[in-house]
Parts: sequence; C-alpha cells; structure tokens
Amino acid sequence: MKLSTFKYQLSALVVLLALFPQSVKAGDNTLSMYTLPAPTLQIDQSAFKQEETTVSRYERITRRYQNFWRSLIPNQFKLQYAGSIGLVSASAGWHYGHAKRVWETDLYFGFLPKYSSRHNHATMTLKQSYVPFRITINEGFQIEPLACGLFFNTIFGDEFWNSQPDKYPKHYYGFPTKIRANVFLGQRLRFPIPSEKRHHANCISFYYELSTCDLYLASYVTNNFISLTDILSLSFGLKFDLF
Amino acid sequence: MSHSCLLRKSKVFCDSLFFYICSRIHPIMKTIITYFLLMLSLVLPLGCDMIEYHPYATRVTGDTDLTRRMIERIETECAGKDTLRFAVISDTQRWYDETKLLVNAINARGDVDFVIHLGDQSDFGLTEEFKWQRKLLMGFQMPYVCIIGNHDCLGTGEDVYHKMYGDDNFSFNASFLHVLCLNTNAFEYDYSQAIPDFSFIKDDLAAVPDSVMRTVVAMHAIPYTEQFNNNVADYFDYMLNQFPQLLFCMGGHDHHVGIDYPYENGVPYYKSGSAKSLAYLLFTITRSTYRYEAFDL
Repeated sequence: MKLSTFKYQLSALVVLLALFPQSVKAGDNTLSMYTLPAPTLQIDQSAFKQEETTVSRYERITRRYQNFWRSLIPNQFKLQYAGSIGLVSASAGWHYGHAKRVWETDLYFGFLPKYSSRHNHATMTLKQSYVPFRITINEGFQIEPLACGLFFNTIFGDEFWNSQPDKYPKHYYGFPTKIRANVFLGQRLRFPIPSEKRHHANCISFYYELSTCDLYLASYVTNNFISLTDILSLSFGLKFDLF
Repeated sequence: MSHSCLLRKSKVFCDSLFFYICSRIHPIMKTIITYFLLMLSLVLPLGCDMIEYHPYATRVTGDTDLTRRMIERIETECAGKDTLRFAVISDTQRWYDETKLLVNAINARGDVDFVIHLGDQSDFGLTEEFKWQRKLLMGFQMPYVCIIGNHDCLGTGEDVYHKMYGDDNFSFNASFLHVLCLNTNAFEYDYSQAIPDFSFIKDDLAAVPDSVMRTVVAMHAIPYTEQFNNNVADYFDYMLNQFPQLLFCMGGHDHHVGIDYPYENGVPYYKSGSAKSLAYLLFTITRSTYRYEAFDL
C-alpha cells in the first residue's frame, strides 16, 4: 500500500486525534479544559459580576473561539463489522438534534483485505442516521427500534474512478466505481452505564443494520431473478457515547 | 473478572431481564420487544449470505477455476465426434431474467455440446454480479466457457474473473476443432499489458495437436471496434490465419446480431447480440463444412 493512498485518511485521523484527548478528559461533565473556569454555585453574585466585567476582549474572543471548536469534538465512536464499507471499520461522529440524540453523523474508516485482488483497500464512509425512537425498559437497558439513513462510501485505489477517465468516449460508463450511495435500516440495543462505573463512555449500544447500494438496486428493480436477500448487506456494530 | 463473578453477573442480568419481560411491562412495550427479537431472529439465519465487506471485495465463494474444469469436460465429452454443435451468447450484463430464458432455451434443444459466453457478464464489475451470473450459467446442462469483456474489467472485476474462471486467454480442442479464446479489451489496459497477447497466440499455435483440422476464435471486442488495439489489427489477422484452417471468429460487445468482414481476406466475424435481444447463435461444425444459425426467442 502506498502512503499517498492514505494521505487523506492520515490527515483526517491526525485532526481527530488532536480533538480526541480533550473530549475524553471532558468525560461526562460537559465542561472542557478549553473553557475558562466557569462560575460555580458557591461563588456569590458580586464576585461573578466582578469577573464578568474584567474579562478582556481578548479572553472573550478566545473563549468564543474555543467554544466553537469544542462543539466540534466527536461525542461518539463506533466499531462495525461488514456492511459494505470494509471488513472492519471505525468511526468518529456526532449525535445531535432533539434531546441531543435523534440525528447522528459519522465518518468511518474501513479496511478491506485484498482476498483475490492485488492490494488491500482502505475505505471512507460518511453516514447520516436518523434514530427517532427510544424506549426505556429500565435504567440499564433501552431499545431503539428504528435507525435509518444513508451513507456514501468511497474506496481508495487506482482501479476505481469517480468519473470515467478521459480516454473513454462520452457516457461510455455512466456510473462511478469509486463512490457508492447506500441506504440502511437497523435496530439498536442501548446500555447506559451508571455514572460510578463509567470509564470512557456513558453508554454502549449494540446495533445491526441492513443496507443496500445504488448498483444493487439498479440490478434488483429490473430483474425478478435477483431477490431482496441478494442485495441486502448485514452489519453488526458497537457504538460508544462519550458525552 | 473471575469465572464465578462472570457467572453471577450474567445470572443477575438474566434474572433482571426475565423479571422485566415477565412482569409489569406495558403491552405495547411487550409487542415492541417481541418485534425486535423476531426481527433479529429472522435476520441472523439469513445473515450468512448477507455478510458483505464491500461490493468490490474479491472474496469469491463457491465454484472457482471454472475455465479449466469446463475445458476438461468439453474435451472428454466431444472427443472423437464428427459433428460439433455449440451455442454462443454474450453481453448478459444486468439482464438476468433474459439470461435465464436463454439458458433454458439452449438446454431445451438437447443437441448443444458446449456454450461460449463472449464476455460482459457484469455491468459494474461487482463481485455479486459474477456470482449471480455463475448461478445462472451453471444451469447449463452442457459445459460453458466465459471470455472476459470490457465491463468485467471494471474495478476489481478482472480479479474476480481470474479467481472464478481462470486466465483470460485460453484454448481447447473439441475433437477436430481448435477453439481459441482471447482477451481483446485493450482499451481497458492502457497498453500496460499485451492485449491481444501475441506470445500466448504464438505458444498456442505451436502446441496445436495434429488431430486439429479447423479453428474458430472467440473474443469480446472484434478488430476495428474502439476496444481493440487497432494498431495491431493486421498482425492479429495474420496470426489467426496461421492456425489450421481458420473458419470464422466470434465477438460480442456490439449488442446486435450480425456479420462483419473487417479484413479483405473475407474471414467472417459473427457478432452475438446481448441477452436483452434474447438471441443466441448456434454453430454446427463438421470436418468439411459449418452452419451458422441465429435464434430469437
């Protein structure tokens, strides 16, 4: 594998790792080391006002700057097996929206062994999920009966192209081999961790998903021979909510 | 964590789960839990086939090395025959239902010795496409061979072809007939590989046994199409004519049934249609003559 193949992944990983330690230290407490010491309940109002008035323009600007970048710290990580995005893949992502949980965006990096081909391949996936329902069975067990959404997967390697190379006549191949658009449907079991037992995460979820991609759908809709199980891809994964 | 501790914890977990399922759960929640477990139990057994690492993952399960195995069958089944009859299909990509009809029609004839597929089984070079096509083509009662088409070269398709079928240039002798099958998709390789491979053709020519009296050549893209390396089209013709009495060549790619005469020496190039047109070619070859037929379903 050439280093150049991985330059995008490497740079993205460096960015994520730079953000990650802070997010870990932040733990469950949403205050991060980036913020200036916030006034606690013990501080009386006069002292608080005193502090507010003495905050310089510089501090205000840097605080705003730090708060902006703090909001971009990934607050969830996932590990996934199969699912058309590699043998195994890991992601960093964000959950947000109503009650800070309905929407999820993840960036996966996956590994695909070479099997009968010439090289191992790396893949990258951008995934958007919608998880509208959460049913609490008890403190330590919740069910999310529906998770759905779409993801775009790209595979790195010289043999794949985004738009057909210039040598071909126009519309010779009318599809990209490099990027796949997928839709998925899944379910989750969620296990919140009691606060005294937390280490890195405040919750661990197990999920499975069924997905299919654009090219499979194109084959499926025009042929009776292709069954639904032929085009569906099953994946299993673990999700760690940091905060 | 010690074993007993683990056991105790799992017991506690099971007990609590049992407690929650059995008692004071809202009926709606009960339904939802049942639905979840039902979904999971439905998915898991089916799951074995549905585990896929990537559409272009080259993990080929099932039958492999098919070209060699099929050639063995053809050579033993046709040995000593005076009349050979073979069917030709091509460009079956993404026309699975039509391919099934073609397979059934050729099987129903009952007089076909073997089948040649002239390439483009897959449309996108996906591994699944090769598997679906293999499932269909294995339905042939007679042996079949597959040539590589330009669509089969896309992505990791070529690697899957090599794993599933074998080399992209091969030949076999059915009784008195020499059948030469060539990869001619030069456009897909940027001249980085010898396509058509003249060293293979030369070696093959030298190895033709004395029992061979006739030769036919099968390829995906015929000379003077955009896929062919037209710079060597004349030498290609010259080399093919060195084989014992070249009767004709066969090609696909065009998706239309027809006959081409690209060279002045009049060697016919029979073009097979795509599976969409539900047409197949049938050649009947004796030691002295041959017959060409095109069938429409």
